[in-house]
Amino acid sequence: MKKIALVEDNADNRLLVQVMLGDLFEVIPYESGGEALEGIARDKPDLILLDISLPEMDGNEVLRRLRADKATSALPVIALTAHAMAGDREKYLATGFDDYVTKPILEEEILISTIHKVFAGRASPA
Amino acid sequence: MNEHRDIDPTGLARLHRLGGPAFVENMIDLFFREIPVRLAAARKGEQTGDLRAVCAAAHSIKSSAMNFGAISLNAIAEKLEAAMDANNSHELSKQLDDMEEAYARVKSWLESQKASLKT
Repeated sequence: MKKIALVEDNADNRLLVQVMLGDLFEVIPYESGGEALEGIARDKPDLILLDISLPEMDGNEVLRRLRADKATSALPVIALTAHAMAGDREKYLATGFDDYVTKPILEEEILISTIHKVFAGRASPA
Repeated sequence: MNEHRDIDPTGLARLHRLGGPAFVENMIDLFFREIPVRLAAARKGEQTGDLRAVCAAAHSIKSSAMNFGAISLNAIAEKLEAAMDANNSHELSKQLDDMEEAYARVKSWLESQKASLKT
Protein backbone atom coordinates (compact mmCIF):
# COMPACT_ATOMS: atom_id res chain seq x y z
CA MET A 1 0.00 0.00 0.00
CA LYS A 2 1.45 3.39 -0.99
CA LYS A 3 2.07 6.00 1.68
CA ILE A 4 0.51 9.44 1.46
CA ALA A 5 1.75 12.25 3.70
CA LEU A 6 -1.04 14.67 4.63
CA VAL A 7 0.08 18.10 5.83
CA GLU A 8 -2.98 19.93 7.17
CA ASP A 9 -3.45 22.02 10.31
CA ASN A 10 -7.23 21.56 10.56
CA ALA A 11 -7.95 18.45 12.63
CA ASP A 12 -11.33 17.85 11.00
CA ASN A 13 -9.83 18.13 7.52
CA ARG A 14 -7.13 15.63 8.49
CA LEU A 15 -9.71 13.14 9.73
CA LEU A 16 -11.86 13.69 6.64
CA VAL A 17 -9.00 12.98 4.22
CA GLN A 18 -7.86 9.98 6.27
CA VAL A 19 -11.33 8.46 5.97
CA MET A 20 -11.53 9.29 2.26
CA LEU A 21 -8.20 7.64 1.45
CA GLY A 22 -7.82 5.07 4.23
CA ASP A 23 -8.95 2.05 2.19
CA LEU A 24 -6.53 2.80 -0.64
CA PHE A 25 -3.45 4.31 0.95
CA GLU A 26 -1.58 4.49 4.23
CA VAL A 27 -2.17 8.10 5.26
CA ILE A 28 0.40 9.74 7.55
CA PRO A 29 -0.90 13.02 9.01
CA TYR A 30 1.22 16.03 10.00
CA GLU A 31 -0.16 19.13 11.69
CA SER A 32 2.41 21.68 10.58
CA GLY A 33 5.06 22.34 7.98
CA GLY A 34 7.85 21.87 10.48
CA GLU A 35 6.48 18.55 11.69
CA ALA A 36 6.04 17.44 8.08
CA LEU A 37 9.61 18.24 7.06
CA GLU A 38 10.93 16.14 9.93
CA GLY A 39 8.41 13.32 9.45
CA ILE A 40 8.68 13.05 5.67
CA ALA A 41 12.43 12.47 5.89
CA ARG A 42 11.74 9.65 8.37
CA ASP A 43 8.51 8.13 6.96
CA LYS A 44 9.42 8.31 3.27
CA PRO A 45 5.94 8.73 1.76
CA ASP A 46 5.24 8.12 -1.93
CA LEU A 47 3.27 11.38 -2.33
CA ILE A 48 2.47 14.48 -0.28
CA LEU A 49 -0.85 16.30 0.08
CA LEU A 50 0.17 19.77 1.23
CA ASP A 51 -2.17 22.46 2.52
CA ILE A 52 -1.12 25.92 1.34
CA SER A 53 -2.51 27.96 4.24
CA LEU A 54 -0.51 26.52 7.10
CA PRO A 55 0.38 28.69 10.10
CA GLU A 56 4.01 29.68 10.67
CA MET A 57 5.48 27.93 7.62
CA ASP A 58 3.05 27.94 4.70
CA GLY A 59 2.76 25.26 2.04
CA ASN A 60 4.81 27.14 -0.52
CA GLU A 61 7.74 27.35 1.88
CA VAL A 62 7.39 23.66 2.79
CA LEU A 63 7.49 22.81 -0.92
CA ARG A 64 10.55 25.01 -1.45
CA ARG A 65 12.39 23.16 1.34
CA LEU A 66 11.32 19.75 0.04
CA ARG A 67 12.56 20.60 -3.45
CA ALA A 68 15.85 21.91 -2.04
CA ASP A 69 16.58 18.66 -0.18
CA LYS A 70 18.05 15.90 -2.35
CA ALA A 71 16.23 13.23 -0.32
CA THR A 72 12.78 14.75 -0.98
CA SER A 73 13.23 16.84 -4.12
CA ALA A 74 11.59 14.33 -6.45
CA LEU A 75 8.54 13.53 -4.31
CA PRO A 76 5.20 14.27 -5.98
CA VAL A 77 3.35 17.02 -4.11
CA ILE A 78 -0.32 17.98 -4.52
CA ALA A 79 -1.43 21.36 -3.18
CA LEU A 80 -4.61 21.56 -1.12
CA THR A 81 -6.01 25.05 -1.36
CA ALA A 82 -9.14 26.99 -0.58
CA HIS A 83 -7.91 29.88 -2.73
CA ALA A 84 -9.07 28.55 -6.07
CA MET A 85 -9.31 30.98 -8.94
CA ALA A 86 -8.92 30.87 -12.70
CA GLY A 87 -5.28 30.22 -13.56
CA ASP A 88 -4.47 28.69 -10.17
CA ARG A 89 -3.55 25.30 -11.62
CA GLU A 90 -0.90 26.86 -13.86
CA LYS A 91 0.35 28.95 -10.95
CA TYR A 92 0.78 25.93 -8.67
CA LEU A 93 2.39 23.83 -11.40
CA ALA A 94 4.85 26.67 -12.09
CA THR A 95 5.66 26.80 -8.37
CA GLY A 96 6.66 23.14 -8.44
CA PHE A 97 3.52 21.33 -7.34
CA ASP A 98 2.44 18.31 -9.38
CA ASP A 99 -1.25 19.25 -9.17
CA TYR A 100 -3.76 20.83 -6.83
CA VAL A 101 -7.12 20.02 -5.27
CA THR A 102 -9.56 22.66 -4.09
CA LYS A 103 -10.91 22.57 -0.55
CA PRO A 104 -13.44 21.82 0.76
CA ILE A 105 -13.01 18.36 -0.70
CA LEU A 106 -16.66 17.45 -1.14
CA GLU A 107 -16.17 14.30 -3.20
CA GLU A 108 -13.40 11.82 -2.48
CA GLU A 109 -13.35 10.77 -6.15
CA ILE A 110 -11.74 14.09 -7.13
CA LEU A 111 -8.94 13.65 -4.62
CA ILE A 112 -8.39 9.98 -5.47
CA SER A 113 -8.37 10.58 -9.22
CA THR A 114 -5.88 13.44 -8.83
CA ILE A 115 -3.56 11.21 -6.78
CA HIS A 116 -3.78 8.42 -9.37
CA LYS A 117 -3.18 10.93 -12.18
CA VAL A 118 -0.04 12.24 -10.48
CA PHE A 119 1.27 8.72 -9.85
CA ALA A 120 0.56 7.79 -13.47
CA GLY A 121 2.30 10.92 -14.73
CA ARG A 122 5.40 10.15 -12.68
CA ALA A 123 5.41 6.52 -13.86
CA SER A 124 5.32 7.40 -17.56
CA PRO A 125 7.71 10.22 -18.41
CA ALA A 126 6.53 12.65 -21.10
CA MET B 1 -33.21 28.61 13.79
CA ASN B 2 -33.77 29.03 10.10
CA GLU B 3 -32.15 25.77 9.16
CA HIS B 4 -32.53 26.32 5.43
CA ARG B 5 -30.50 29.51 5.60
CA ASP B 6 -27.81 28.27 7.99
CA ILE B 7 -27.28 24.62 7.14
CA ASP B 8 -27.17 22.46 4.07
CA PRO B 9 -28.09 19.06 5.54
CA THR B 10 -26.47 17.24 2.65
CA GLY B 11 -23.11 18.12 4.24
CA LEU B 12 -23.75 15.90 7.24
CA ALA B 13 -25.32 13.24 5.02
CA ARG B 14 -22.13 13.19 2.96
CA LEU B 15 -20.01 12.66 6.07
CA HIS B 16 -22.34 9.86 7.14
CA ARG B 17 -22.00 8.17 3.76
CA LEU B 18 -18.21 8.47 3.93
CA GLY B 19 -17.61 7.06 7.38
CA GLY B 20 -20.82 6.15 9.19
CA PRO B 21 -22.14 7.41 12.54
CA ALA B 22 -18.94 7.01 14.57
CA PHE B 23 -17.04 9.12 12.05
CA VAL B 24 -19.77 11.78 12.05
CA GLU B 25 -19.64 11.90 15.83
CA ASN B 26 -15.84 12.27 15.74
CA MET B 27 -16.09 15.08 13.20
CA ILE B 28 -18.70 16.91 15.30
CA ASP B 29 -16.56 16.53 18.43
CA LEU B 30 -13.55 17.96 16.57
CA PHE B 31 -15.68 20.85 15.35
CA PHE B 32 -16.84 21.61 18.91
CA ARG B 33 -13.24 21.44 20.12
CA GLU B 34 -11.56 23.41 17.35
CA ILE B 35 -13.96 26.23 16.47
CA PRO B 36 -14.09 27.86 19.94
CA VAL B 37 -10.28 27.93 19.89
CA ARG B 38 -10.33 29.66 16.48
CA LEU B 39 -13.02 32.11 17.59
CA ALA B 40 -10.96 32.98 20.66
CA ALA B 41 -7.88 33.45 18.47
CA ALA B 42 -9.84 35.82 16.24
CA ARG B 43 -11.02 37.84 19.25
CA LYS B 44 -7.48 37.99 20.58
CA GLY B 45 -6.32 39.19 17.17
CA GLU B 46 -8.95 41.92 17.27
CA GLN B 47 -7.81 43.04 20.72
CA THR B 48 -4.13 43.08 19.78
CA GLY B 49 -4.59 44.47 16.27
CA ASP B 50 -3.17 41.30 14.74
CA LEU B 51 -5.24 41.08 11.57
CA ARG B 52 -3.17 38.15 10.26
CA ALA B 53 -4.25 36.11 13.26
CA VAL B 54 -7.88 37.03 12.61
CA CYS B 55 -7.42 36.10 8.95
CA ALA B 56 -5.89 32.72 9.81
CA ALA B 57 -8.70 31.93 12.27
CA ALA B 58 -11.38 32.93 9.76
CA HIS B 59 -9.72 30.80 7.07
CA SER B 60 -9.77 27.76 9.32
CA ILE B 61 -13.37 28.31 10.42
CA LYS B 62 -14.44 28.75 6.79
CA SER B 63 -12.94 25.39 5.87
CA SER B 64 -14.40 23.49 8.82
CA ALA B 65 -17.83 25.05 8.36
CA MET B 66 -18.03 23.85 4.78
CA ASN B 67 -17.30 20.27 5.85
CA PHE B 68 -20.64 20.37 7.69
CA GLY B 69 -22.61 22.37 5.15
CA ALA B 70 -22.72 25.30 7.61
CA ILE B 71 -23.48 27.85 4.91
CA SER B 72 -23.87 31.01 7.01
CA LEU B 73 -20.82 30.37 9.16
CA ASN B 74 -18.78 29.64 6.04
CA ALA B 75 -19.98 32.82 4.31
CA ILE B 76 -19.29 35.05 7.32
CA ALA B 77 -15.82 33.55 7.80
CA GLU B 78 -15.05 33.93 4.09
CA LYS B 79 -16.10 37.60 4.14
CA LEU B 80 -14.05 38.22 7.26
CA GLU B 81 -10.99 36.53 5.74
CA ALA B 82 -11.31 38.70 2.62
CA ALA B 83 -11.62 41.84 4.74
CA MET B 84 -8.51 40.94 6.72
CA ASP B 85 -6.63 40.14 3.51
CA ALA B 86 -7.53 43.66 2.36
CA ASN B 87 -6.41 45.08 5.71
CA ASN B 88 -9.98 46.30 6.31
CA SER B 89 -10.93 46.10 9.98
CA HIS B 90 -13.72 48.66 9.79
CA GLU B 91 -16.47 46.18 10.75
CA LEU B 92 -14.30 43.64 12.54
CA SER B 93 -16.11 43.68 15.87
CA LYS B 94 -19.52 43.17 14.26
CA GLN B 95 -18.17 40.50 11.92
CA LEU B 96 -16.81 38.59 14.91
CA ASP B 97 -20.16 38.93 16.69
CA ASP B 98 -21.87 37.55 13.58
CA MET B 99 -19.42 34.66 13.34
CA GLU B 100 -19.89 33.72 17.01
CA GLU B 101 -23.66 33.83 16.62
CA ALA B 102 -23.52 31.71 13.47
CA TYR B 103 -21.36 29.17 15.29
CA ALA B 104 -23.84 29.03 18.18
CA ARG B 105 -26.64 28.20 15.72
CA VAL B 106 -24.57 25.51 13.99
CA LYS B 107 -23.54 24.06 17.34
CA SER B 108 -27.14 23.82 18.47
CA TRP B 109 -28.10 22.03 15.25
CA LEU B 110 -25.13 19.67 15.39
CA GLU B 111 -25.88 18.81 19.03
CA SER B 112 -29.34 17.68 18.00
CA GLN B 113 -27.91 15.70 15.08
CA LYS B 114 -25.33 14.09 17.34
CA ALA B 115 -28.03 13.07 19.81
CA SER B 116 -30.02 11.49 16.99
CA LEU B 117 -27.00 9.37 16.00
CA LYS B 118 -27.37 7.50 19.27
CA THR B 119 -31.05 6.68 18.82
